[in-house]
Parts: sequence; C-alpha cells; structure tokens
Amino acid sequence: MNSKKYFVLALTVQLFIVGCTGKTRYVDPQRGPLVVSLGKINIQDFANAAQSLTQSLIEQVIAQGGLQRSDPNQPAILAISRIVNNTAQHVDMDLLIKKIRVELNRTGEVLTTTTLAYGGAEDPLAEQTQQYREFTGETQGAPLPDYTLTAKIIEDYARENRTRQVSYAFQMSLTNKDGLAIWEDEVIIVKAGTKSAISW
Amino acid sequence: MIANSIRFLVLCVLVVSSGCATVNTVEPEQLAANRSIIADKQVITDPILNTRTQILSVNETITLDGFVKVQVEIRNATKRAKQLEYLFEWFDVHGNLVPSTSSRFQMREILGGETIFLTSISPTRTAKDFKLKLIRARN
Repeated sequence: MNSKKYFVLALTVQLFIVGCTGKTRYVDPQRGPLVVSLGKINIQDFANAAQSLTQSLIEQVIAQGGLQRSDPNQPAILAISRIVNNTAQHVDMDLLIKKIRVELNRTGEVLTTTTLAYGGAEDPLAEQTQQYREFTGETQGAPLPDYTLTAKIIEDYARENRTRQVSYAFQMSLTNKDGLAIWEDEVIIVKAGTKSAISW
Repeated sequence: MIANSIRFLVLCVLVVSSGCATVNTVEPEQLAANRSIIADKQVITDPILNTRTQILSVNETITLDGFVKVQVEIRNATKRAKQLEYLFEWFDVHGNLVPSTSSRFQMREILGGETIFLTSISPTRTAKDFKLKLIRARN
C-alpha cells in the first residue's frame, strides 16, 4: 500500500515538474518545425502553396517575357478577383494571396492595384483620393488592370480505419485583358494521420 | 506456439520488405536534351544525409527574360524511401541575400534508388547565385 502511495506521489510531482518546465518559445516560420494539424490548414500550408504557385507563375509567364503591359515601360497591373474558400474552415485568404502579391511585386514586373478589386477596393481611402483627383482633373482616371487573379481552395476528406486523410487543393488562374487564362496551376497538400497523433 | 512464431516472422518480413520498394526506370538511350551542367561546391555537415542522398548534378539555364533557373539532381542511394527538406536561397551580384516571403523549407520524399530534381527560379532578375540547403526531414 505504501509503495502505491509513493508511486502516486512521485507521479504527481513528476507531472507538476513537467507542467512547470513546459515553456512557450518562438519558432522561425521559415525554418520550423511548426505544428501540423490534420483538421486545419496550417500557416505553413499557405506558405508552401504560395511558394509553389509563385515559382510556377514566375517561371511560366514572367521569366519568359510573357507579360503584356498597357505601358511597355511600366510593370503590368494586376487586380485581385474572386477568391473562393470552399473549405469548412474560416480562413483569411490573404494568408495565401498576400504572399503571392509580395513576391510578384518584388520581381519588379507586376504591381497590384488596391483600388480596384472584386467585392470592393482594398484601400478605400486610396480609391477616394483617386476619385477626387479624377474630379479635379489632376489625373485622367485610374489605370485599368492588365491581368486579374482568381483563386480557390477545395478540401477533401478520406478515412480508412483510424487513419484520416485530408487534402487541400489550391487553384489559381491569371486572366489577361482578352479574358483568356494565360496561366493556371494547382498545388495539392495532403496530410494523413490518426486523431491521437494530432492532439497537440 | 510455433504457428504464432511463424506468423510473427512473416509479419516482420512483410514490414521490413514493405519499406524497401525501389524504383525501376526507363528512358531513351539517346537523350534529346542538352543539359548545361555547372560546377558545384558542396559543404557537408551531415555525413549520413550525404551518404543517403547523393547530389548528381546541377544545371542552370537563363530564361528569355533574364531569370536564372536551376535544377539539382538528387538520388536516394538507399533501398528505402527517405524524406528530406530543402530550401533555395538566392543572392544578387553583390552577394546579398534576395529576400523572399515564401522561401522556406519544403519536404520531398524520394523512393529507394529514385532520382528526383529540385528546381527553383530566381525571384528577381537581379538574383544570380543560389544556395540549396538540404536537411533530413524533421517530422
């Protein structure tokens, strides 16, 4: 009986020590490792998808000199069109789109308009300023986009015995002024595991 | 008792053999492609990784609009599937790192004896040099 008591006491002390020593730490988002969740799109999933899609867009369009511009001496103008989240999760799609915009901006070949977008301007004050300048005759209207970008995330679930698999398809299209999709690509991220393996 | 032992042995053999699927390939004897292989410099800090995954070649091409595209050929020298993580970093002509928000370690699985290609395109026209970092998968 006594040994049982000592065992329980030792276990309690051990748990207490473990609980005290557990600490929160910073994790480098580029180096990781980061927490992987089965039922959620993790931040690294967005980053991986954005990385692959950006590389594909640069390789197939920009690096081949395939961008057509209204003004040949200026970067092409890109507007963000409909972004569809067909998953059961509420996610901010800027986790995907912003990374792609930043990378495209850094190429020096593309600029994104923040006053013209599907669903309303991203920057309402910039839009109002633009309208004021047009009204006063300072400018002759906002430049129209050379390209529009659409994206969609789709999720798919599969299960066999205790193993669950969730797949996320990140699809993206770049459409030119003629309404033709000059670039399209898809990145699929698949995660599989058991419920116990993702508890943390 | 003996039947149980045999069952256990068969199970062990199955478990061991299931991880040993290697890749057979076929390709034209005379390849049409003329790859521009460049000389590379390797710094090995993980001898185990270097033994398991061998870097066979690095080829580099300049695109029509002046971007640099690299392709690194890697072979899994073992008979088992291996996972690795890789990251490309790009540098301008002054040797400065070209920042990239989406540059991060990505995971790839290589089957036993398989050869894969890791590719990257420079994020800007000014990026000229690259460095590929390889580590064993940490999951």
